[in-house]
Amino acid sequence: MLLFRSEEGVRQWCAARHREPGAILTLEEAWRAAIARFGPVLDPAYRGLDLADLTARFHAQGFTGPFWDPT
Amino acid sequence: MDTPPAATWEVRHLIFTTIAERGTAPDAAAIAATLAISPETARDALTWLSDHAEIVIDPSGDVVMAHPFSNVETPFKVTIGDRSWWANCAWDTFGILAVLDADGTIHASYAEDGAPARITIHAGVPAGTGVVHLLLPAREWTKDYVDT
Repeated sequence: MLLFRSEEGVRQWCAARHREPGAILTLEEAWRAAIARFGPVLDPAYRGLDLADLTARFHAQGFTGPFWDPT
Repeated sequence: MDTPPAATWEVRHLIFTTIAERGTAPDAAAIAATLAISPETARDALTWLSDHAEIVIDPSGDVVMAHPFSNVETPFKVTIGDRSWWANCAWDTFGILAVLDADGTIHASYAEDGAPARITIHAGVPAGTGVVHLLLPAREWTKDYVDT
């Protein structure tokens, strides 16, 4: 999960490695996705990553579709 | 998920709260001393947590990754004032500030040319230049911590 100057940079980087780009996030999207992914990390009641809960948190932040489905 | 060994979730919580507070994770001896458990119990918990992708440990049993935190120096760093934390990747830098619920600065580099990059987050609003690329979809994240 790397930082690039631009989407074009991502596409060139992927092409050079014969990979398809995954999700390209603006900085604001990266921030919201991070809140969804890592929200419960310090919760003392945490008992393992709940994939249904993670999916719901992604949806709440507007991240839907197969890429964001952890199940 | 199989049943974890004794004190596993307490060990996990101690690892994450310690690295969040200090920037470094405790080793098995420190975990054992803090939680008043045996070193063997601490090591068993660390192994179980690593086997279940909750953390990553090295061959000696020390914590390497406790996502989004890294317990080793990396090219991805977060600073808040004079305090700092290492991250495992560019996205994890955002994750650290999200976990800490704080304003701070992300220090990374652009993948195109390695030039230094600095992004600030203030009141939940990032400022800077760039995009973050997540190569693998969510279902792959715990299967390949290196290539995501």
